[in-house]
Amino acid sequence: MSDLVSTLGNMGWPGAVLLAVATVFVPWLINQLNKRKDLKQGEADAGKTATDLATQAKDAQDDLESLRRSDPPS
Amino acid sequence: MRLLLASLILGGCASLPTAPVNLVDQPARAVIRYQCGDELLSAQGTVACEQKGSSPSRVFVKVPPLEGRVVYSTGELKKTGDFNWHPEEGFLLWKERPLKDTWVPLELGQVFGNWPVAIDVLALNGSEGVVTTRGLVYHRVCNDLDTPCSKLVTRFYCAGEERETGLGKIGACDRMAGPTQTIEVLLKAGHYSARSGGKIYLSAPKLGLKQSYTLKESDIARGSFKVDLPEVKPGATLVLLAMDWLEGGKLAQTETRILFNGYSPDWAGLDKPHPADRGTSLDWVKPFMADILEVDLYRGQTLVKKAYSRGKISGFPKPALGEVACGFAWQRAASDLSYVCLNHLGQEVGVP
Repeated sequence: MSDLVSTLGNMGWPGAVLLAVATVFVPWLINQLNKRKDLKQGEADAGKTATDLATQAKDAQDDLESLRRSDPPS
Repeated sequence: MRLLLASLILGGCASLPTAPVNLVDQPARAVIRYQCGDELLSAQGTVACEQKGSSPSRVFVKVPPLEGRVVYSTGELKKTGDFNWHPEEGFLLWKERPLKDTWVPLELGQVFGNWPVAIDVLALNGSEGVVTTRGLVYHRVCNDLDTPCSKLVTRFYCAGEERETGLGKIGACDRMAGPTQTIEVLLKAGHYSARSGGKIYLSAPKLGLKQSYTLKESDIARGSFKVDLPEVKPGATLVLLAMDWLEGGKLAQTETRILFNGYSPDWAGLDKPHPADRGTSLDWVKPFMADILEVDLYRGQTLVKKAYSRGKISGFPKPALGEVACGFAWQRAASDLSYVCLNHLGQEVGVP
């Protein structure tokens, strides 16, 4: 890692630009992409979970009514 | 070109935070306050409540002292509320309203029918990224007319802890996803006594389960009947259990529901915050790998003092009689929230 940094340092201004890209821009960009991905997933999840649970509640009630009709106690 | 590539890799590797687990696979860890019937209860993760009759909703969720948003949904509505902690003023701004405490009220309207609420708390943790904690609330409104209230008594182990359903009480359980969940149905309780020839009905739509079992004399003599779910999947699985029998030619019916919320075996969460007794005060240390620690002192459910830190909190007042001190810790990598609350005797108690 230190070899790479010193090589970049010896390259003059192109090296300095590359170093700046490596240490500032790329981390910033990756963080932005990560944040966006995490936010998007979180924002989508609440709606899906609630809808899924509401559907399960309805389906379970339908199942119970059908079981009671088809196999009543004797 | 080689250098450019190397510098991109160098920069990329240096900046990559540990990716949080997929939200569907992580446990519900948000701390929630919710009204169930006449009671305002606090709990973590997945909570279930049965109440007689519809009512205005009261649901609050704990947010970290950071900037972020709460996204919540009942399956019919989906809302967003932004929050921002202002350390210099010592309040949390929630929808342009300053709140002294970091509990935010959700606007959900009326509780009616089968009423699920899924909550995602998303907070920006500086340059690290987003800390996400999730919560799940399931209300069932009954009336004992066209919608029977729960009466069936069942017992089950939830991650090693015994839980029960019964009169007016449905179940909830956060556990690791995996094989087998046994539920024991009691055939005789104070308010009912099943007969031979009766039926137990089981429905778990997420698992594709729809079964009926016939009760024999030997089951009645044993007093209970065990049903097994083959597995608990990641995410919410609602299980409906009912028991019908004939009593003097008349049909008797009971039912209940249990909500399991499974999480991935890959997930590992935080330890609890560590309080250390310093005689007249408490020092609070955040758990290993936690990003932020908040400590609150409550009298009843009213906040008396709040502190937060990315390290240690020293000299925090010990709770007096009638007070509770709670430490909350958040971690981005595990999308986790852990907490511990102590009373004036130093005993662990629930969130006020």
